Amino acid sequence: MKALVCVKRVIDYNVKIRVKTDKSGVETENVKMSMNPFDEIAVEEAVKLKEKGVIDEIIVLSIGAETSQETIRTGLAMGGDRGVLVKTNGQEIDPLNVGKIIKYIFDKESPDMVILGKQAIDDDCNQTGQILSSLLDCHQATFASKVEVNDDKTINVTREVDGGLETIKISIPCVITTDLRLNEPRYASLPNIMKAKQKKIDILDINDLNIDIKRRVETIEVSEPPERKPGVIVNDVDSLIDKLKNEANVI
Amino acid sequence: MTNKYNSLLKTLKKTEYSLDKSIVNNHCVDWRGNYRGSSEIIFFPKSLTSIQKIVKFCFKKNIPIVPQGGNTGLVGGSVPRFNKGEIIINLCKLNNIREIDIVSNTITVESGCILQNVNDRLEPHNLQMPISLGSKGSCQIGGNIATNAGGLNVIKFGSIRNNILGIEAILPNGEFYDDLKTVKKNNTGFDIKQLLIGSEGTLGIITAATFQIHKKTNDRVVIIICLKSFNHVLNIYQKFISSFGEFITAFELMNEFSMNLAQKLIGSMKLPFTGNYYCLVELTNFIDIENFSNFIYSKFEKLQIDNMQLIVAKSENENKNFWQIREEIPLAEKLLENVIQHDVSLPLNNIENFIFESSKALKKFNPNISIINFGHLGDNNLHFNVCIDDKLNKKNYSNFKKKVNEIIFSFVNKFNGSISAEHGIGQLRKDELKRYKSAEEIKRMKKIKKIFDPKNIMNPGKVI
Repeated sequence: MKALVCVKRVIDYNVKIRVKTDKSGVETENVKMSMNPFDEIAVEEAVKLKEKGVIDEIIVLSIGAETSQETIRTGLAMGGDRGVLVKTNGQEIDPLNVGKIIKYIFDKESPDMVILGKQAIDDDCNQTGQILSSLLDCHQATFASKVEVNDDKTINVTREVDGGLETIKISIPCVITTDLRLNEPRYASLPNIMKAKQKKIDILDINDLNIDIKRRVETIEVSEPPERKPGVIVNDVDSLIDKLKNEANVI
Repeated sequence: MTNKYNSLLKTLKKTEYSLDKSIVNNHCVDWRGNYRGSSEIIFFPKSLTSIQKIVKFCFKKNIPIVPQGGNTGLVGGSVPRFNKGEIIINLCKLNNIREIDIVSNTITVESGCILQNVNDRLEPHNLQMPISLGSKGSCQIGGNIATNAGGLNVIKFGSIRNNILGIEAILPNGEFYDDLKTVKKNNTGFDIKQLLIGSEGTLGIITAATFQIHKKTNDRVVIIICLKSFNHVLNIYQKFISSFGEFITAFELMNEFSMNLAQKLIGSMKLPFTGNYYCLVELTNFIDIENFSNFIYSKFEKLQIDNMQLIVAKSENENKNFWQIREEIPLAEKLLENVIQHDVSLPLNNIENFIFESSKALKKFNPNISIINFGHLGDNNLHFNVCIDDKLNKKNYSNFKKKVNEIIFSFVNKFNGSISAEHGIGQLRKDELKRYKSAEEIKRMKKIKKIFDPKNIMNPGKVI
């Protein structure tokens, strides 16, 4: 089987986010970027399936600026076989358009499954996987916490749902979106980094794909959460009750 | 009893001192609990004038003073001794940041500021302090200076001594010493501030200092390398220094025993290898290279280290995980009984022989010894700690400890090293200092001490 894994380059989740002064977005200049953590889990799952002998080839796809090659390289160092970058010119791409681009690559490569993070930690959309399965008109399993491929090539996926787990059976081709507890991504080791350097990354220009990538959503404003007022220390229970009653008006 | 201080206390604010036994006692013990002393009173002066009042009072009445910062030291330098009538001056309330100059990249801070708080204030300017310590959340700037603190970034910025432009202090007779310059070059005779740096509170109370500060960048990549022998460690160290030079912000060493110790505490990290030595290297992207990991990967290619057991963090989260291993070692060690610590430095070329010979001698002395070996390799600094599983009673333990120290320090001496690389002397290494420093040096140190502190009231019983 063949797997297409989608990875997004995002601001590292440990970096303190700063909003641009004109409130048009967040500051990305000189900020540490990494692979979206959910996508890292997607890569790991594909590599695991390859180690089990279920998958023969893993294609790591990213959509973004030239710098996203670094993110693809990381995926290749974890065990991906080759990369595809759909190069943008810095414009924002809505989830629907991301879905259309992935579909374009899907039609070209005909993989048996597409594995991607349930959401990217920058825009928190949680739409791409669902939109993609609808564009491809194929099965989907979202929020996967366990993936088992059966002998007949059907796939059992355990999903994290409210208050428990749900196991479903889907058939290929399919879209699987990964949740946090699916696996623990491996470290990138030197021999694998070296091997990854030799692996091929195809670069396609987004303008050559003939896909309408007009935005349907307009960002009006990005703002920081309101600053929290510092707490106060009260001397005794009576003054605490007094403050809750008369200042905070909560009791 | 308190009458003794009444005339002084009248001139201070109520919040500037405490006679409360539990508060005083808390400040009479070091954080590891190795040194427990006593005092009647602790002062928390909020201003220079208050400090001056206290010191002048003590000078007049011959009352010994222990200056104290965050009390995170490891050699018992910041706590009073037992029943010596010493008072404590804790600087925590003298904690203003006086000036941040983002043109010449300097900051003037008072000594009670906590290192982390200073860094937090610098963060919006994309600047940082030149030092980084494990205890950054509680250690104070005054103590950092008084102990010439080292820590994790010495390889890049040098120790505190290299980063201080000016100092302000109150001398043992209560005089005000003002040398709060902010210029980088200042060749005007003897550099007296350098004597105060690393004096461990024996020459005066540092009240403020001006630091050279540096650009901060969040983009870093942490690497862990696993190696068979120390010879391999040195080899890779040389390769990294020549290839990555200015990007290296830490080069740390851990032996297998200390690695296992840390992993026991934090749970397994699932490192894909095991070996005798581990190095943690931090590379920081100071010049905003766009694809920093790719840049590092291409350097690896040139290094011809293809078969090296090495892992590279893919994200800041993994950076932190890797660092956690190194940072947990001292904490994991604290949970063991009978650990004898040594903070030594040695010329890089001698470290291998030092480890080999002293380990052999120690095992011969007692085969049940384990050695916890880690440190800042880039600064030639080795924490060489010895622990023993045997249950020893107090007397046996003290003899055992004495013998272990003797063995280690004789080899440090033989291989031309220093018996205290970054922790200082305090009470812990006072006797050894006499043995391993020349009589001539000790004599001159004593003379200098006398010039600053003729009545020997400033942190007596420490260092010399």
